[in-house]
This record gives sequence, structure tokens and C-alpha cells, in this order.
Amino acid sequence: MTKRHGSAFIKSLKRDKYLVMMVLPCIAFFVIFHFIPMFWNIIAFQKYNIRGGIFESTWVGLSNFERFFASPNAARVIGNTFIISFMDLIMGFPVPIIFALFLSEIKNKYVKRTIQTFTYLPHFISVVVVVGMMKIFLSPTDGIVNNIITSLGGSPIDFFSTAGVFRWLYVLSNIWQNFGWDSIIYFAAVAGINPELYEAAEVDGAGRWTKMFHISLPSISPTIITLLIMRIGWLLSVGFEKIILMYNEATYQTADVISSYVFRVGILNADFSYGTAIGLFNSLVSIILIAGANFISKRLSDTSLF
Amino acid sequence: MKRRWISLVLAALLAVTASACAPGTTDMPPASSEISEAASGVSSGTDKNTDSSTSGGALPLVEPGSETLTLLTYQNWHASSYYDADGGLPIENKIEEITGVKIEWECVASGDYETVAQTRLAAGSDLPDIVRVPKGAAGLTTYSNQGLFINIKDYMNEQTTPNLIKMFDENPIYEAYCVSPDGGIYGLPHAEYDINNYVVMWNIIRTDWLDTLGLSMPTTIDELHDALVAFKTQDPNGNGEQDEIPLGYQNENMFGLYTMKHAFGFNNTDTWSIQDDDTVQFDLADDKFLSCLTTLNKWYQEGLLNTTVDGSDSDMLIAQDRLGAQTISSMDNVIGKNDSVHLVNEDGNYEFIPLLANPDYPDNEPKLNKRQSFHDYYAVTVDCENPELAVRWLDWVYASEESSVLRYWGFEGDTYTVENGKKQFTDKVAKADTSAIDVMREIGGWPNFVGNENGECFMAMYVDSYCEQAYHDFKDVMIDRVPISIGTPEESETYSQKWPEINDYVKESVINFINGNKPLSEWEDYKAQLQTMGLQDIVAVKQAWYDRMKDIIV
Amino acid sequence: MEQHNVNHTPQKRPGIKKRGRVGSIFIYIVVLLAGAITLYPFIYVVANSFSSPMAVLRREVVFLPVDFSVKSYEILLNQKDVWLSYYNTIWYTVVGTAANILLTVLAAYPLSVKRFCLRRPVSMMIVITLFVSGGMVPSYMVVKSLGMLDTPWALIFPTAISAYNLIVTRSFFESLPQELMESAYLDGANDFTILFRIILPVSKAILAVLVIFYAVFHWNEYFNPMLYLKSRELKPITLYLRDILVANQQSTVSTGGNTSLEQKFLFEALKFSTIVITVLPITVIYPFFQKHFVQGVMIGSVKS
Repeated sequence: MTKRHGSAFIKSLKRDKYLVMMVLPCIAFFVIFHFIPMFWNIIAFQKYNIRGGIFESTWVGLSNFERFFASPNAARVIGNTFIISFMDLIMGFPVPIIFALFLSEIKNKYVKRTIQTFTYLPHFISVVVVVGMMKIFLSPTDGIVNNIITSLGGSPIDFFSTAGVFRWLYVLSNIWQNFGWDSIIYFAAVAGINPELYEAAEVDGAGRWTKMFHISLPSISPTIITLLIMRIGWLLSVGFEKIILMYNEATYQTADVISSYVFRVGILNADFSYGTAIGLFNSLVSIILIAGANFISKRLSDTSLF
Repeated sequence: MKRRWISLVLAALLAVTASACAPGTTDMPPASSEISEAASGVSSGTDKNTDSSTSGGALPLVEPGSETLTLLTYQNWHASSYYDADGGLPIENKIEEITGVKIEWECVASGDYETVAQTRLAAGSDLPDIVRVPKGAAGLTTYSNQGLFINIKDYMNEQTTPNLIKMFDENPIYEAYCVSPDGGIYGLPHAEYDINNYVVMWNIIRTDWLDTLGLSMPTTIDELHDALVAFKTQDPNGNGEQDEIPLGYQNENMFGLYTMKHAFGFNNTDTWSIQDDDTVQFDLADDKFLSCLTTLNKWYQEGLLNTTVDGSDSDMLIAQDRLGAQTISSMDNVIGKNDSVHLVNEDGNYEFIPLLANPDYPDNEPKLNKRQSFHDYYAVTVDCENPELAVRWLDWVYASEESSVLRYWGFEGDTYTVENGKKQFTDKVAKADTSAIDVMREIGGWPNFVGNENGECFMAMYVDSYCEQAYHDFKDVMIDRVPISIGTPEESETYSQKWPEINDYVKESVINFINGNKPLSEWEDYKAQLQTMGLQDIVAVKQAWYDRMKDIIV
Repeated sequence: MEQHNVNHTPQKRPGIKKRGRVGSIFIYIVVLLAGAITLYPFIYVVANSFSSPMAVLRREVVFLPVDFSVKSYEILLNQKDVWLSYYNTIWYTVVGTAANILLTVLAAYPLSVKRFCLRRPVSMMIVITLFVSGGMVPSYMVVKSLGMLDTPWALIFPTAISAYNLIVTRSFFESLPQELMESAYLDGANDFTILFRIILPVSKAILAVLVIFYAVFHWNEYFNPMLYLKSRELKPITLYLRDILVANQQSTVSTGGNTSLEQKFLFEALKFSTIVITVLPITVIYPFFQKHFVQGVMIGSVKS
């Protein structure tokens, strides 16, 4: 930084002094509550000593990471995290879009508003309640779903204890909880499309479906892409709270993800250095993923996050 | 300009109001309850029936109200009586009155306790004075090695801890479970020792269904099988539908079926056992267990087992008159289950199944394992400003006779009376709508902190009930479990690093072997995997623990 | 937002009106189904909460209450301290949301001004926090060293700004016509005036969004109160209800535990009434915000 550059910076600080004042609390907030705790990640390279804290713990280099990758669980939890995320992405991403497209077709305002409101509702309830409700509905002995299955002649399925079913359960319940909420954005984007486009297409003889897939969909693609990028960045962040509420020993094999493993091993087992090492690994990969997705998107379509 | 000032003043006013009515600042009137008033009325009139040799050190321990100890522990197991309620609970208030020490409660719902306690301890400073250490013996070793707890032994002598010394003299097993390999005592265990000599926890079955179907109580594993088949096919609940679930589970969920191993040549009912040559063995990796799993898998395919792995619907099935048998129920809960069934079917009755024989293993005489007696420790942290006081408090609360009577029997004349030298509960407790323990918990009895549960007291809650018969049926075949002891730092590290994953894997595999998700042909792979995960290291650790304690435990 | 030009000339198909009707029916069915599957679980829960505990335990309730009874509500609302906990939750939600909005808006505006010298670095900083964190233990330690443990402020400050919401708000401000601010600037207004007198009045939409996001967050918050609060008087209703549910559950399976029949029934019934109590306020308040809210999400996200 040359001297000229430096003083230009100071000059612009002075010019924007009110803006600086405004943003100061925010900076302080993130530094105190986010960046300072981030230093904790150092213990991933240590053998943490509780009384001594970070400064008095011994350094062990990469041994925590080695331990993780050598563990039979590493492949499993990393695999599950990716698989569940991909499933969530592939199945969950299109649903709100399609729902928004369909809903936009409904002419009756009253029906539209009411249905929309119903679909937002699940988003507002906490995940604890959602899982509680799921357990009630899917109970093998007396849940509604199994009652229907048995009356049709089948035998009851223990949804929460069948490893093969777990991921579907997780993803489908995510869709249930979020499709209405997520569809708002797309719904709004569709509403903002220039009606002339539709008129022109109708003149050319386009039917409803043609209009939907050849006009509406492409028109909202910038929105879709932006949200897609963000979703990819979150690929490794399968939320641990819901997994922990849903899994049990019978389903660890397909349900255990990085975050739930970190919680179980790092916190519940007081193996803090080990847990932090895994968490750090998780964060690094997330950053790489989103940077990558953003880069690709910038190249392909001019839309990007930053 | 003026507008701006007005809005600023308004904002300031709002901020001040918000702080003024923040949680914690509003004064709520202290909660009053009938029992607490009655109790304080009664207790002030009661003589402190102590003689100096049992209560030991001078009471109160300090000038009343001059000292406070902070205690981090489970919340009371009663939905509306909390240890940290305004005004406190009667029994805990009495403890404060007698010891003179005020307790500042930090209570966490037991389901969340580990998360919260681990975080607090990990922070390493500003720790509460006394804490219930999460993760039992492993937790105690981990944290005491990190220097978080004081060595209680440093304070043990006739003046400071007369009750503890007496207790260790009379029951060396307590000391065995307290002492770390380095000779120090870093925590006192929550003891269900005495009570476990009485509490039978075993598998139960509907005896009235057996009667209805003309069957007698099964004595062999095959007879049990036949009874279960009959439950399934012959409609014992008489409603014309085949809705009976022959065998379910609750504690330890589907994994709990491992208890059937006793009928397959094993000498006990728990997952670990002591062989004749004094070696410790992990039974679920023994080939005899494969026979057990094969049988259970067959039962599963025949539809005799509940398919809900977590067994959470057990209570519901019982209430619907549909559950034929269940694994691992403690005997007081059997009473509750019977009450539940009676609402729909007056004849409904569960009783324990005897230990089953198996002609394939004619000489096998298995024993029934008692529940884990010592788990979770209470430690005094190094941040405690008056550790000697904390130790004296623990000494009185944990080990004195007077405290035991107060905490488990309650208040004389109110919750119990003494007749012919024998204590018994009053009707208020024994004949309440809810259970006796519930009544006691409501006033803070049978507490979740620094427990030392009294067996005689427990049985007194179930006078003239099935519990007495159950006790007589099983008392001669009950033995202790293989101990989980406080280990050396190396042992503890091995145990805490390897055991949780092994444990998870075992449970997962057993459940999947039973319900067929994992073919039984993978048994050898399962054993091999356990070796890879380090099972032999765990066995070595448990062997070391057992060797250290075997002269003392029965 | 770019618009793609569509050059498409499909053939005219015969009977197009008929096709349209089948398509309409199909769409209607799908949409109504979506509404039904999201609504039904709530109906189920509410019906159970108004049924007798026995009927609940036996799973007899499917759509309408069986043996109508308000017993589970009676029990719940008669518990000591339930109203205190409710008050706490309301306080945390109101004060928390107010603080959230103030700080978020205050930070979003400077970041939306293109010429702001700190714009790039601060934005970078914020995005990083979306992916990397220290976790429970260090956050606890920070809160502890600030002396906030066991005070109401522990639920206000550590969650004062959500990086995600900040980004959305920033985008919204960026989408506002620049002329608005330019002309005010030329008239000699400083940034504070611009923010409060010009920007906020036209930002009702995004404010509605923020209110909903933050309020719902505070209302359902459970983990942070569990970690940071020790005293009973400070606990919000989520913790309070959790205490009840755990106590009941424990007592039905704990060894040496409870045998009470009533306790068992209670547990089942309470599950439902606690759900209703936690969800109800949100569903009641939401419609008021709905109009502005939908508008706000529309604009805020389309431009982001």
C-alpha cells in the first residue's frame, strides 16, 4: 500500500464517517461473537487442556485429523452428508419452483392466498415439534400412515428404524416443511414477468404448459441460479439438530452426518479437540464448494453471490 | 430538530422500560403449597432425633445463611415441583435449615444435562461449587485429570467427615467405587446400591393371558416361544382381532432383547460377564450369542416381536390391552403397567418371567444382574471458595443417617410414622392417587442429587404388592454387574475413545441382526469389525477394573 | 433481472380448450393436495390436544377430538410459572426483534452504498461467518467473559445480527432507486437522515420480512437459553415445556421410578397441547404481516 493509497483511504473514511459509525456496531458484533470464537478452532491442532485453555495445551499437529480419517466412521459420515445433501438438493430444490409455477396458474385469488398460507405454516414451527409430529404419524403400531398400510393389506413399517428409509424421511420432511416458504420467492419472481411475453406466445398458439416451461421458467432462472449456488455452498451443512432428533442406533449407518457425529463425539464425549478438528474440516470444504459454485456461475451466467 | 429530540427521548424511555421489565427483575410471589406449609409446621415441632455419634460434626455446619454453595445437577423428576422453584421444596428447605448452608440451584432437565454440563466444564472457569459430573466414571476421570476437582480425601477425617468414614467402614464397596487409581477421591457416586438388592428389573408377561389360553408360566425358552405364538394367534384379549403384540420392549429398546441370552448358555443377563476363571468377557461377541440372535430373528420373522425399534409405543400398547410381554421392566413399573391395563381389562396382570432354561444348555444356571449401582459422580470443583464446607455438606447430605431418613422417608408424622420401631409410610404417601415416589418427589424427596437410595424405604412403598413377591422370587439369583470403575488416565482415554463407537456399533448390529436388515451370515464380519475397533483393548481395561475391585464386590 | 426472449412458434392444436380444462383440474388437485398435506398435521395436533388423555394414549383421535376435554390445557396452564415463562418468551421476542432490526438495518445501509470504502472488506467478513464458526463451547466462553451468563442479555446480544438477513436487507436497499438518495444528498442530508427519513419509510416490505424472520427465531429459540440461562425466572417457555416433557418421560421409564398412571396419560396429552401453545401465537400473528411480507420477499430476493 503506497502512501498515496493509504491517505486516500483515510480520506474516504472521513467522507463516509456517518456510514462508518453506522457499521461499527455490526463489525463489533461479528468480531466479538463470531471471529473471537473462531479462534477456538486452533484446538483442532492441540490436545486441549481445560484449565489451561488454548495457551497451555500441547500441540499435536494433524493427529486429530489423522484420527478422524482413520476411523471407520469418517467415510460413513462424510458419505452420508453428501448423499443426504444431494438428495435434498435434487428432490427439494425443484419442488418449490414447480409449486410456484402451478400456484401462479390459479386465478381465484381467495384460493391462492389460503393455500399459500397453509403451505407457509410448517416453516414456522420448530424442528423439535416437526420431528415430534413425524414420530406420531409414522408410528409402526398406531400411526396414521401405518394404519392405512395395514388396512391395504401390508405390514407396518418402522420408518424411524429402517436405515434405507431414513434419508427419504429426512428429505421428504424437509420438503414438507419448507416448500411453501421457499416457493414465495419464485412465486414473486413469476409475478414479476412481463405479461406481454405471455400475450405474444398465446398469439403464436402456445398452450398453458408451453407457456409455463418456455417462458416462466427461463424468466426466473437468475433467481433460481442464485439460490442454487447458495444451496450448494450449504451442501455440507446438514443441520444436526434434526438428524439427532430423528436418528437412533438402527439408522446410524445412513443417518449419521458430520455435524451429528461432531456433536456426539466432540461435545457429548468431551473430546473437544477431536470434534473441533472435524468441524474445521467441514467448514473448509464448505468454503471451497461455495467459492467453486460461485466461480462457475460467474463464468456461465453473470449471476454470482460476490 | 425538535422531532429528532423527541424520538431520541422516546427511544431512551423505551430502552429503560424494556430493561426494567426484563426477565428476572419482576418479583413473583413465592410459591406456596399445602405440603410445604404443613411440613414446616410439623418439622418445627419435631425433635431433632440425633445423637452426636451419628450426626457427627456440629450442626448447623455454619452460621445459618452466611454461606452459599452452588449446585449443578438434574432437575427434579416431577413435572411441577422444581428444586429451583421460588420458595424451594420442603425437604430441601429442611436440609438448608439443618446445615445452615444456602444452596443456589442450577437445574437442567436430565435429557439436556450432558450438553449443558460438558459445555460448562469445558469452559474451565467459574465452575459451580458442586457438580454432577456427566458421563459417569469416564467423565470423572477425564475432568479430574484435567484438574477440575478437589481431592475429597484431603478433607476426610473424623471431625470433618464422620459420616463418610462410617459409611466406608460399614460398606467398603462405596469406597471401592470412589477411589481413583492414584488413591484420591474426586467424586461421590450417586448410589442405588442398597436399593438394588431389592429392585428386580427383568422381563414381564401377561399372566392372565396365559391363564385364558390354558398355558402355564414358561420355564424354558421354547415354552416362551410357544406362549408368544399363542398370544399372537389365539386372541387372548378377546376382541376378535389379531392385534396383539406378543413381545415388546421399552428400556434399551429393541436392543434389550439381548437379555434372552441367559437361555443360551450364558451365566448372566447383562452384556458383560465374569467367567469361571475370573476373566471378564463381552458376551455379545461370543459365538453362543449367535444362537440367541438366530432364535430372535426367527421370532421376528414369525411376527412375535414389536417392530417399533425404540419401543416408545409400549405404554400405549399396554393401555390398549395389546402387549403380551415386555423386556426389562423394573418392578415398581410393573405395578404401574398393571394399573394401566386394569382400566380396560380388570384381569390384566403382568408378572416377571422366571429365568428360562434351555435343554441345549442343561447345566447352565444363569443369574439375574442387578441394575447399575453406582453411576454419575458428584464432585467439588476447584473454583469452590470453601471446599471444606462443601465436603462437610456432602458428608452430611450423602452419608448421614438423619439425612437419609429426611430425604427418603420425609417428615415424621406427615409422610411416615414409626410403629414398633419400624417405619412405614402414611396413607398420604402410600394411598395417594399417584405413586408413592411421586408424592415424595413433589416435596423434594428421593432426590436427583447426591443420591443414596435406601432399599428398605423403597420396599415400604410397596407393602402388600407384587413387589414383595417378586423380591422373594429373585433375591437368591441376583448378582452385581461387572463394574465400571474409575480408571487410570490411560484406561479412561482408551475407554472413552473406543467404547462409545463400539457400543453404538453393537447396538446397531444386534438390532439389525434381529430384524433381518443384517444377515446372520455376517456374524464373523461383525466380530472382526469389533476387533478392528479395539474391543480387546476395552476388555483389557474392564479386566483391570474388575481385578482391582473383585475382592470387595460380592 | 434479465429477460430471455422466446422465439417460439408452436402449431395451433385442435381442442385446445379441452386440454386446458384437464390441465386446470390437474393443477388444482396438486395445489389443493399441497394445502391439505400441510394443513392436516395441524388439525391432528389440535384435535388431540382437545381430547381426553385416555383417547390420546390409545391413539383414537384422527380428525376431530374424541371425548372432548381441555384437561391437558388445564394441567399445562395450571403449572406454576407457566405464565412467567410466557412473559419471558414475549420479552425476548419483542426486545430481541427490535434490537435485531435496528442493528441489521443500521449495518445494511452502509453496505448497500457502492462508494463506501469499507463495503468489500466487511461484506467478505460477513460471508465468512456463514461458513465457519467456533461452536458451542467458545461462544459460551465469550458470553461468560462478557458477564452476560444468566442474564436476559445473553439472548439478545449474541444473536443480534443474522448474516443471512443482513445480506438480504442489503440487497433490498441496493434495489431502491438511487435517485432517492442522490437528491437527498444534494440537499445536504447526512447518511443518518437518509436512512431514517427516506429509506425506512419505503422499506416497509423488508421490515416486515425482518420482523417475521427474527421474531420466529426468538420465539422458537431453545438451545441458547438452555446453555446460557441458569435461573428459573429467566427461562422462556420452550425450556419450560421441555422440562415438563422430560420429567414426565423420565418418570415412566426410569428405574426405581414412577408408576403413576396419571403421569403416563399426562405425558401423551401434554405432547400435543405444548405443541399448540408454542405454535399458536405465531400462526395468529403472521396473517397481519402477510401482505407486506410477501411484497418484501418478492423485491428483496428478486434483486439479490
